[in-house]
Amino acid sequence: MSTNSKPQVGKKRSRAAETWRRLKKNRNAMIGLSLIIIIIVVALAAPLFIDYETQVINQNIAERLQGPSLKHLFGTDNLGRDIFFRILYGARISLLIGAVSCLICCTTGVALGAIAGFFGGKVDDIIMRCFDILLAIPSTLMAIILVAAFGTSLFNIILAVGIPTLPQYVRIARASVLTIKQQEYVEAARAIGATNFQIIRTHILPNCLAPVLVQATLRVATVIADAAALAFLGLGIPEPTPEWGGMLSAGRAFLRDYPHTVLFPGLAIMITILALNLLGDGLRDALDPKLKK
Amino acid sequence: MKGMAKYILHRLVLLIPVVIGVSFLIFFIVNLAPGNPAQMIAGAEASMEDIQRIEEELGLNKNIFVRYFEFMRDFILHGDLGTSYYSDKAVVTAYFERFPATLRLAASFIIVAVALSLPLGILAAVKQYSIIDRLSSFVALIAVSMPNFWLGILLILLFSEKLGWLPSGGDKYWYSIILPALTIGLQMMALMTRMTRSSMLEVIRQDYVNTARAKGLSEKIVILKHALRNALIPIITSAGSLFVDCVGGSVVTETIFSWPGVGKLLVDSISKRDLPMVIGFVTITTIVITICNLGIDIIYALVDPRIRSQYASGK
Amino acid sequence: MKKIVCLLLSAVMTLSLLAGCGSSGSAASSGGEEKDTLIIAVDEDISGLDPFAQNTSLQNTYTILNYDSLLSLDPATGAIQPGLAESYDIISATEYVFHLRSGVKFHEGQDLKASDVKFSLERAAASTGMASKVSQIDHVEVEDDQTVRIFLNTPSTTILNNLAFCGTSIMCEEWCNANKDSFKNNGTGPYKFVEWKPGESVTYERNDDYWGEKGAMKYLEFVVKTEANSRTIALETGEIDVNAAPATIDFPRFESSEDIELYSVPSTQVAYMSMSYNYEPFQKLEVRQAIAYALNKQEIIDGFLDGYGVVKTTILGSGQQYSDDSIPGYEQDIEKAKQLLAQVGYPDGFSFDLAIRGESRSVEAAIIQSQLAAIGITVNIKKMEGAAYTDLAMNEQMQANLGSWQPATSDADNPLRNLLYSSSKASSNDSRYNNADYDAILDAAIQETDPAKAQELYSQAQMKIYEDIPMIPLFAYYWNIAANKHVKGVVIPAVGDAMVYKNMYWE
Repeated sequence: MSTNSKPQVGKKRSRAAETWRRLKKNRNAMIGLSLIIIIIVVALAAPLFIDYETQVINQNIAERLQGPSLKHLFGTDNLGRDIFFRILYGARISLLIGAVSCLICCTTGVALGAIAGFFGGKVDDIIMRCFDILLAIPSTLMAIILVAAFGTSLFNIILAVGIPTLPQYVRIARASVLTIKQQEYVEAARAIGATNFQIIRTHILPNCLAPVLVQATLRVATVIADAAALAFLGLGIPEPTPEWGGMLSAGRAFLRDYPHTVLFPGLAIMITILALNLLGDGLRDALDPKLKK
Repeated sequence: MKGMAKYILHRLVLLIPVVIGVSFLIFFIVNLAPGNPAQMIAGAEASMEDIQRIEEELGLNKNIFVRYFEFMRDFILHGDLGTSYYSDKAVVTAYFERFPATLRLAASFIIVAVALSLPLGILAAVKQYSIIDRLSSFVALIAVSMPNFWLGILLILLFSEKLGWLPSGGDKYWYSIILPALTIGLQMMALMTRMTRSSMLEVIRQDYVNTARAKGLSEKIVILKHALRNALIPIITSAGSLFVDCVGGSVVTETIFSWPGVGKLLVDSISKRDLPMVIGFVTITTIVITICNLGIDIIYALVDPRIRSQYASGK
Repeated sequence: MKKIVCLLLSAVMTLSLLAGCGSSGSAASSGGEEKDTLIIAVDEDISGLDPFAQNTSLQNTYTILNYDSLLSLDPATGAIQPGLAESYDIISATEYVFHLRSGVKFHEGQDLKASDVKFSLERAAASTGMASKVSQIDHVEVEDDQTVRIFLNTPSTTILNNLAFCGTSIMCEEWCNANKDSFKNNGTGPYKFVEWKPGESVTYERNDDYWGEKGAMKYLEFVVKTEANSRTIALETGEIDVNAAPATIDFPRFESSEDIELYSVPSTQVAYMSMSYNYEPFQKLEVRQAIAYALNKQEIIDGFLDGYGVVKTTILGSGQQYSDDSIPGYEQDIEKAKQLLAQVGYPDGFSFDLAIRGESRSVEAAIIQSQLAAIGITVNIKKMEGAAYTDLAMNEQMQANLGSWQPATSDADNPLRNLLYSSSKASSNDSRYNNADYDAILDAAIQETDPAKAQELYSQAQMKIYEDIPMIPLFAYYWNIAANKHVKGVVIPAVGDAMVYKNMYWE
């Protein structure tokens, strides 16, 4: 193992640096990355500057449905709550859903895919059949059925929007594994007595890292969009939690005379998804060995 | 072609375990979920006796495995997916009553997407890095990032209310389909423009395109006749898989525009716990989607001679 | 690139802002030729055609167009009037005889006979939605083609309300038996069923051979538009003529619009907050009183209904029989509320789960949450979808919930019994109120034939609700209909949940 690990690590390090170098050159990806960083910082810092009780969920019927002003940057919603603060807090929820969902599904999917590819045979068949079944059900329907059946708690929503993304990770991991499995250095590693686990960990996982990372970034975007869609259909997180999709849904009754209640949550969702897409595309281009910039 | 037929048969046979798996999964999820269908039907003024009577009528008090067995038996032997708890209408009938509307909607998405993305994508590829390219790229990104229900609502606001040109929902007039079609169609267009562009870019770089140019053919013919034909393959697959996604019923669009498709019916059935409808719908949707996927693959094979030969040789 | 970003973002924003200001499109009238179809937008679709399958407001609205019952309700006053039965005799507390009109025909041509009445009532008893409406009937005897004798299993004055309700619509026995698998509406009512496009629309045509006052408009077409915005826009552009479910937020524009008329009448649908006796803090009367004193009902109406609601101190709507609006309420008194809580050991408040069904009461729940926070009570809003919500009560896990009751029939017994009678667990006694005195009052009242005495008893029942606070009546919804100014004959019924369309016409 020692003869292989050093050049492997060296390859990894320079590969990461190489990827970063290429990513940096992509202006769009950098815009995306910066936006994401801003959103994450805002989400994390929100409780430091904004008091949840008094500014996010406190209702003030007298001040309802006011347009953007100095006092309320984005105006107020139908219960007099400041939309700007709710959007800032909403970032936490949306990012939480996106991140946790992707993390859980990514690791589970990759693990299952790696196992399927690596061990092949019956194990592979069973796992792939299961995911064929999952793939056969349209993702929105699956999410709706799960949430309608099991309730609208945060955890349920995270799972409901995440589960339909599993098959992709499984596929990617499995495909990666299948290609790598044939390589010589795997045989060499086996020859010197590496266990299956060590082989998977050292050789196989790093190689599927690239496409999985791209997939994960793009999936965070779809997961956030799906969670918003669920909220739109009335299957979102209950009040008074500020969630962008829920805010959009609640605002649509006031669309015509008070469009700001719909405009700002929609923009928030759009910008987040846009940033993630830019970053994801940039990552894909940066990691693509075929492209020589 | 014999290899092709074998392949189709193989895929159709594979469909069976998938359908069994899907129906099993949904059957159990929905049945184990909280809520008593009998109570939902009986309503707020029912007595315990009423509810129990209805439970018996609907067979809800039987063991769940027995019910699944009966369900599969009816399905496989009679093609009967049960009857709605609410309307005494067969699930299959109810589904195919509303399916044409969903199908039309899905088709219209693709038509809008292709009609707009094809010229845009070709232009962007031909004039790479120009203003048109950059602009269409960016517009595409924005369109794809917009939550589709937001876009839908804004469209209704503009075209239905402000301008009064188009109805705000329903399927009454031939032009009722325009707004719903645009809502998802524009997003699909965004995705497909990029697909078209990169596909065209790859093809344009090929040698045979240069050969065509060297032969003295006009640029237009080179692009449209030679390059495009080969670039079409991934475009078709893209369009195909997007279409298939929507065949399952685009719930959000159907909700916003009160479009009488299957997606909306499914969501309503879930909230009413109309179990036969939910299970039947998902089962039928699975079959329909799988067949559509198969159809796409066949078209793909027909269009791309390389793939066709793979099937012919009985891969 | 940055410039383009800014340009595009401002374009999107401008678009949306433009959308908000400025006047809306004018209501185009489909004037010109004689208009023979009235187009009404409703917010959901029916699940099936059988009037007995489900007891819902929309289904009932359609049912009264197609069918008649033995008796009927006057829309303006809610008074019980003759229907298919010209007259009736009360033989005893448990025996009634009804004399049918002669010469009445079903839409498909059959003659109305007494045996149809027996068939229909028995069908209702075996149905999924209307069994409770005929549960008092023991058996029905047919004396001759025009005479029906109904025997009750217990004396009950509400049988007349039930027989005036469309849940006891009379169907044709011969036709129903012949068309078991393809049920269609075949009644005696002022409108005939034309077609149902599931998810889209239902169409009815006037019955020109109707025995009673004929329908005003030739065709009625109900179109399904689930989005509130959609309905409003359609009304303003003239795509539809009547909006059966206008959103309160649009009322100011309707009221100031020259083309649209808003009809707004307090309805008998009353919203309440129910607190379960299964949950420990709610077992103390002082806690219930504290909560009652903490609430500001008008603030709820203003925030949730944009002011279009009426504060209620009793669960009976104003038009409901024997409702008593003199029942006192609990005026908001935060200090007193806090005192009461401290008195029984909750000086720092406590927390409870408030269950709501779906999205519709979300805003109201948030307002209540905020009002109760002022006395130290933490409300956890549990939004659940319909099935899970009903399950919660059935599993005795409900702590508190927001509900509402729209009585389908005009009798006082309907809400009082369904919501608070001790054995109504399956229906709607979410609080699990179990009070023998209350039960006794209702049982005595339902048999009381003297209206004055009945009023006394029902007022007692309503007082008991005020004293024991199993639930807190909050407000009565307004029944709102928005229609084009050309639409005449709009009458919102005083009782019941079925809107009356047969008198509407376009001028």
